[in-house]
Amino acid sequence: MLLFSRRKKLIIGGCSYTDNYARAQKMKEFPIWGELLAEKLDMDLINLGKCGFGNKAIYHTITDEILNKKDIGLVVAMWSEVQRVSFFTDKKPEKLKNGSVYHEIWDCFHPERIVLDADWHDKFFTPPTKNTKKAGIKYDISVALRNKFLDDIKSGVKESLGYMYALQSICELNNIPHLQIQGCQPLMGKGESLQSVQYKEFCNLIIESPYIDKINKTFIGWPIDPRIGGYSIDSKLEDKHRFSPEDTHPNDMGHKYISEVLYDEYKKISS
Amino acid sequence: MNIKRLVLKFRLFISSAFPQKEKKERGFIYEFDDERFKKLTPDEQGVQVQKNWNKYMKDK
Repeated sequence: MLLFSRRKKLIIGGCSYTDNYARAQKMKEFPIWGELLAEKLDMDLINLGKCGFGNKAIYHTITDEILNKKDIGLVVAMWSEVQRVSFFTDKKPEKLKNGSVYHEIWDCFHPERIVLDADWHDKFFTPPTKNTKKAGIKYDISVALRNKFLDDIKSGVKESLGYMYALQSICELNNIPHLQIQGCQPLMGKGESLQSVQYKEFCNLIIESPYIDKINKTFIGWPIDPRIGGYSIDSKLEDKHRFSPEDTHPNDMGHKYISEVLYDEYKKISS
Repeated sequence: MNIKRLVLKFRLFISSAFPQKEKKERGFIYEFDDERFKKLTPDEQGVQVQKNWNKYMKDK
């Protein structure tokens, strides 16, 4: 349908807040915000969102697509956690047991989460049985990054802000209507005391960055954190918009809400 | 320091006086952190983790 369509394209990128998370989790499916927004705008949807994507993967997938496509009506980037790392892996497509084909060219993960998760599973493995979570390249890279403090908030924020400004600049240069927004919380969830320290650092890094004056109104909720007058879409979601307290991803109502927020903002930039 | 930075710094300072909404990770790290799971013995917890792992591998 896209091949012969004369309609403009809506190109979106992001993590599990943009991808069809319910389908990936084998839950009951519903229309996701990208589909709802494409319908409202009468555009063809190209959804580049993938569960687990980091900001580097989000930036590159969107940029590659917009430089390769014509008739783009709108680009929406919904950013992920700043500390996720992304590696380009030119893997060959792999046929899975269930018959589907798996082709992932980006490997993304959150090093701290990988290490904490593996540590947590230690209690279930009595030596000489090895903790299966502590094997594999993701774990090895995560440990190396953490040991050398290469996955800290500062580097994550610096890198992510650079991608945000670069995307804005590329879209402006090519006269492509665009919107950006922070999707999930930018930092991994922690207990209140540690969380407030980390978010204070996060806010200070944004305030002191050269991008504070450069990111324009096409970034919805800039400067991202409510402490300094911004917001992420996650911070706007209420309990009724989420699957459960354990799985806080947006549900059908959440996706509907997100599509409305984006539609309202689109009307503002297009008027 | 420009005015915008000054205003945001002040805003951040003021915000520290107000409690923020806590969002503790409840993803897969704490996926077994519910009351029913806690009541199981360590051996039974291990079985549940293994089942979960097997299911994950099978689905994959």
